[in-house]
Amino acid sequence: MTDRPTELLQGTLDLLVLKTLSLGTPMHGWGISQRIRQMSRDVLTVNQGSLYPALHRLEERGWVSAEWGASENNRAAKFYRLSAAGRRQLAEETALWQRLAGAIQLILQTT
Amino acid sequence: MRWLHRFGHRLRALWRGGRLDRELDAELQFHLEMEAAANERAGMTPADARGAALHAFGGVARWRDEARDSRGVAPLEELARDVRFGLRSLRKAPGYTAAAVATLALGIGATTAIYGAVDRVLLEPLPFPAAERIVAVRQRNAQGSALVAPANFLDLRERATAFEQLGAFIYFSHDFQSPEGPESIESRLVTEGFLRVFGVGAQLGRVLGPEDFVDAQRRVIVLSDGVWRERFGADPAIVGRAVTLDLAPWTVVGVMPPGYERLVGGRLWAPLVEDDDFRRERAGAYLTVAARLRPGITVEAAAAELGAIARVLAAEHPRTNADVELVVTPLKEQLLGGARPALLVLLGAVACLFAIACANVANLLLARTLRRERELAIRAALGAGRWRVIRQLAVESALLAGLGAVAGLAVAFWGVRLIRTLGPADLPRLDELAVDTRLVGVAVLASALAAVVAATVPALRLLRHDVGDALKAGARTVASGRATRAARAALAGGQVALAVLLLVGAGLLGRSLRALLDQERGYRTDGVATMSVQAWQHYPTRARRAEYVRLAVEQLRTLPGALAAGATSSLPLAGPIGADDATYSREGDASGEAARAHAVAVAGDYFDVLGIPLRRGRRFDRTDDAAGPGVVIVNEALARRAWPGEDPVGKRMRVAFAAAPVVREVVGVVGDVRHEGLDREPTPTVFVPHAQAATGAMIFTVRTAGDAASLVKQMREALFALTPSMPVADEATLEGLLDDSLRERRFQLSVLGAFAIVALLLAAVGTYGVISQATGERTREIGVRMALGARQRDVVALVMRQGGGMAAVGAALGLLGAAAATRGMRSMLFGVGPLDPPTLAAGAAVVLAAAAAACWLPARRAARIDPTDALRTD
Repeated sequence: MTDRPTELLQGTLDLLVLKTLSLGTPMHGWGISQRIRQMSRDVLTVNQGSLYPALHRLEERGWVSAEWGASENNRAAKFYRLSAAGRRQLAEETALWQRLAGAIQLILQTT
Repeated sequence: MRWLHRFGHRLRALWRGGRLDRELDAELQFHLEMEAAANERAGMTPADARGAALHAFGGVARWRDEARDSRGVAPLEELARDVRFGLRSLRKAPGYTAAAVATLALGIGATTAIYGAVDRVLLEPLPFPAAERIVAVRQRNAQGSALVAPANFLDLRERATAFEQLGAFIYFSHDFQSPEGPESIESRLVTEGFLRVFGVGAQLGRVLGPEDFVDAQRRVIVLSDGVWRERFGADPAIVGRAVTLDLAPWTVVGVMPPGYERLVGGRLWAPLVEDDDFRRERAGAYLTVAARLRPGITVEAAAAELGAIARVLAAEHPRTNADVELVVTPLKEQLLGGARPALLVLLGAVACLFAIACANVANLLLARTLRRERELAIRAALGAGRWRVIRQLAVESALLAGLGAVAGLAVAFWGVRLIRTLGPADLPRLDELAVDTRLVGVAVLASALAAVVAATVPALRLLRHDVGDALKAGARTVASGRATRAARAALAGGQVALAVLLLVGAGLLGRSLRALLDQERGYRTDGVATMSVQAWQHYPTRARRAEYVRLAVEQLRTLPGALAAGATSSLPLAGPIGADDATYSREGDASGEAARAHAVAVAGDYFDVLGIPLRRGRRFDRTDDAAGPGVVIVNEALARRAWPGEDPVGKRMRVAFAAAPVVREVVGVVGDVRHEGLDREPTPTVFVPHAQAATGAMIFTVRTAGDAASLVKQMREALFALTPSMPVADEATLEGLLDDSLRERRFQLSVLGAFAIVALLLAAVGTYGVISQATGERTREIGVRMALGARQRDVVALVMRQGGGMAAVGAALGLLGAAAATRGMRSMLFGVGPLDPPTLAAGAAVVLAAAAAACWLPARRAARIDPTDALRTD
């Protein structure tokens, strides 16, 4: 087992973050990483730091909006929420991903 | 709309960069703490929990930087950081920085100064309204005169339709009694339309109008701004006042704006009254004509019309106009066109210099990049990315260029001053040359170009090179790849080529100057002092003028140190002060066949003063006065033309010199004189005794064994003693006049020579740098060779061969370039052709010698290499 982390493609991470935020409540960065870990059944565990460039990029593009608030344990944290444009982007990227995955699956099936 | 949001985000990020950084840090800190807390809940110790959290996070610094990058403000922050870093690294290598900045300063400064001169003289339009419509009209015949005969001018005025305004002037002077003594002010007698041709109105009063030309007795005058200020104290009420000029009252009707006199000529303008003599004069051409074209008429159309009119006039007046053409030239062309070839050559030369400077800086940058390659490779590996490193390089290059531009402006400032003082005096716009905003812009542009060029080669190298190679263990210095070596050699070779080109150009100019000076002039210039008078006013009759000149020459003979004294109506190297051409026909010729000749009235020992030898016959003496028979002395050129193979002494000819033809007997033949200029052939000339053609415009000449300049003052005083109220003008020595006539050539030679020397130095330095570097890289190879038995001699030969080969190729290219480029210099050369072999050979030889000298040091260093040390070197 090598030590090299499983690096997610930039676009894929964006998709996961958008999806996570689409589930409703605003979340902070750690919360998003926890949720992704849960939803992927612990496959995607390392390189949590890669989340932050993604979050800032999404914020810069206007797909998420952010504001500072108090966390569960009353610490200051930055909370992200999905914007309307972000919701549209999520739909587009999900469709794209599914088409891509389907194509790869087809190729892998042929012997 | 999205872009607006993004733009706003970037702006905010830029504005509050610091605060956003702190927020990001807090955000990441929060994440780590939450993760650590979760780990503790899962049972880890606090230390392990923290460690695991960090591990799961991945490199904090890396993700933080990337998060900041994705904020979108990074480019600006990075630029600031690059600039700071660039400045620091330039400071750390002061020698290299100084060399690069100095080279750039020279290149940029010289380019800016020369470009400024070219632009001002050639490109900028004359400061008159619709200046492109102003033309000069000249009369041309077989002899090539430029002035127009009055009758022809009047016919033009009547018949030509191409012109909106047409005017003419003759050179004149007005005597003015200033508190310091009498003085002669250069002026112009103008026809009615002349001042209107330029479309400039007076700053006070008005220009001359039709009413001023009606009555010959009404003396009205227009002042120039200079005269108004210097002689009349800028009196605001001067219009309408009478001033005393030429011992008579003249009414001032207007004052022209500043700068007008410099371009139009003359410092006073008075009406030229067209009397009967004027209207009839078709043989003597003494008018300078200018005109303004009608809107929509091209120069070619006007030329065509004038050609037709000239042909009609030739048919109407075959005796005078048979071979007369009327030509039209745009005024700008007329005034400045002669300077074009020289200025373009200078522009080309400075472009070469600029290229050499850029090549030098590129080489410097490349050498530095190679030395820092390891450091740059590490930066690239740490995530800076290749483009980032190149951007760093570009910033450094831009900083160098910026410093070079600032220093270059200082050089340009100085260079402009030099051009103004040394430059040819008769380029009318040159004295306006100054470092203005436009030139500053040129300097900035030049430095930007230099930065781009200089950074390109190292950048290309970085792009192609795999940075991993640089980090190979054990490599202390990076060996340059073949492409880099080739690039460096090409740069240095290019410098050599350009240096050869400039040297050849300067050499050709130098030889031309030498050839001119060595030319048989026909007269001596050492120890001769001269000054002119216009005696018409003070000695109104012929008899009185003849007597005055005779007396004046007598007086001048008695001056201490004077060896000979004389007077002439036309002096070589000096401009004309009065009529100086005549027509003549030999006894027995049909009356229609008058030929033209240069005509001079002489008095005293004029021929001796100028050292003009007498070939046959005798000089003039006392018997050749107004009462005696008409006599004439001719020069060899005229003798050859009029009486080939015969002895002219004793022959008779009819000479019309500013008067009706007079029969004269040839009493002597003198040697030819290059009167028009050192590079012109001698023209056939007739000399007439002043007593028999008593013109009032004479130049007194005195020869002394000592210093001519000190004689000038005494001459002036002697002439003032004779006629206290008559001013003298054109005080000069013949040596001074000679220098002035060569001034333009000397200027071109100095500038081109200076460029050539700088280019030579830069090329030598460039060669030294390249060979030095190359030899350093071959240390190991040389060590091996020496270990295998090569002697010091062989190593030296090895290095010299490498350098020599590069320089030889460069020199060959330079010679080829010179062969192509010097063609454009043809009009500037005298006595040498553009492909003069000795000059080409000498240019190449000098540069090769310099390159050889530059290779010598590295060669000797290489020869002293200790083989064992060398083999241990990486």
